[in-house]
Amino acid sequence: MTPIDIPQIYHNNYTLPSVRKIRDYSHNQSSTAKNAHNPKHLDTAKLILKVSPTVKESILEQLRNRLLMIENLNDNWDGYNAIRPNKAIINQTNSFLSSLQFGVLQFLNEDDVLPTPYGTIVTDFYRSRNRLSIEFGESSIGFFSEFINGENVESEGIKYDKTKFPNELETAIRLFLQA
Amino acid sequence: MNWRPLLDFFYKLKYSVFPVEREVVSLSIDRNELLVRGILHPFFYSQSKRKLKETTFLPPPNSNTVSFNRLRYTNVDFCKSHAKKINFPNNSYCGLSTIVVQNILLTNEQFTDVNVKVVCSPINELGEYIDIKKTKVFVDSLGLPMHADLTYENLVESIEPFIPQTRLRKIANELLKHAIFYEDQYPNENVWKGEAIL
Repeated sequence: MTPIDIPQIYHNNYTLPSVRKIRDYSHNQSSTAKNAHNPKHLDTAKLILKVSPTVKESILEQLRNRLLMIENLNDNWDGYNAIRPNKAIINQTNSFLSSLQFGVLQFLNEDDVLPTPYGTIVTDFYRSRNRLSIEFGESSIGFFSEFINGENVESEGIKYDKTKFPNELETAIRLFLQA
Repeated sequence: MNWRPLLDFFYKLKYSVFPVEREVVSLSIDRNELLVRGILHPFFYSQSKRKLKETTFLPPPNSNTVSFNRLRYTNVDFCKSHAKKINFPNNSYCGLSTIVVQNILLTNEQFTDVNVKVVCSPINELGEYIDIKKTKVFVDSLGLPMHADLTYENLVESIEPFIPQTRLRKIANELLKHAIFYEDQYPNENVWKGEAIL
């Protein structure tokens, strides 16, 4: 799967190696935009680009731990007859997350990876007050957005497997990053 | 062993010896009624954002309903103890959420092709739905006489497992905007000691 290419602005804003601090910082979009044109920050960015793979791995590790927690659920995990996602859905989600670049992944908190009672997995990306919610099923995905600019996207039941990244989803992620 | 006949016998005996006026659970649900649902962490509630997740309003597979308790016919302590029975290592009770029926019905204005409604659906002590056309349900009946179901009519008859439900999640997301979450500061206590839920 080809990693999604992210506009350069999303790589350039980080000066702290801590994942938590990076996330907090990245959620402040006004400073993100301002710093992108700040020469001092651009200098720092060259250095940071070198460490970002490690940071990406840290985020991925947290997300994989979350998926492991979901995988270890029993059926009826909510007391109302919920079922746990099967291995195929866990793998789909994992491979999707692994294929994302840091510039996208930074907007996904582990708390926002959730099982649904009917056995799918939802990943909610938040960038400021913009949200992109992607749901993984056994062989398909669905998504919807809540963008502040009102130009929302929505799709249900696109065929998806690990080898093919749906164009609709790629477009949705791009819109999310630009919203 | 089936305890039902024995329990029925004692119930009849009790009310024949000590006749009291029992409060009947109304089959029609008032628009102002408050519905309560137990919330589990981490999958119904995000600690980092301190907010409820739409999972709260999503039905299980092979169903299109979500369970609630009608606060009018029970109390917060019961809702808490009921929710606490659901306690798994990776998913434990952390508080209660409430939503007013009227706000649930408002969703129908936004999603005109769907009929989201709340129906009275009392459950007996065996976990089975009581036939409300045949049986009168009282507030002190065994089981969950205060039980109600939020039903997503015209959307799905029965949710197929492992298949994304974008539209359903969008509606659940709207319902979430009207829900209030009350975090339980004393989850290990048996009674509710937090903010009054009215």
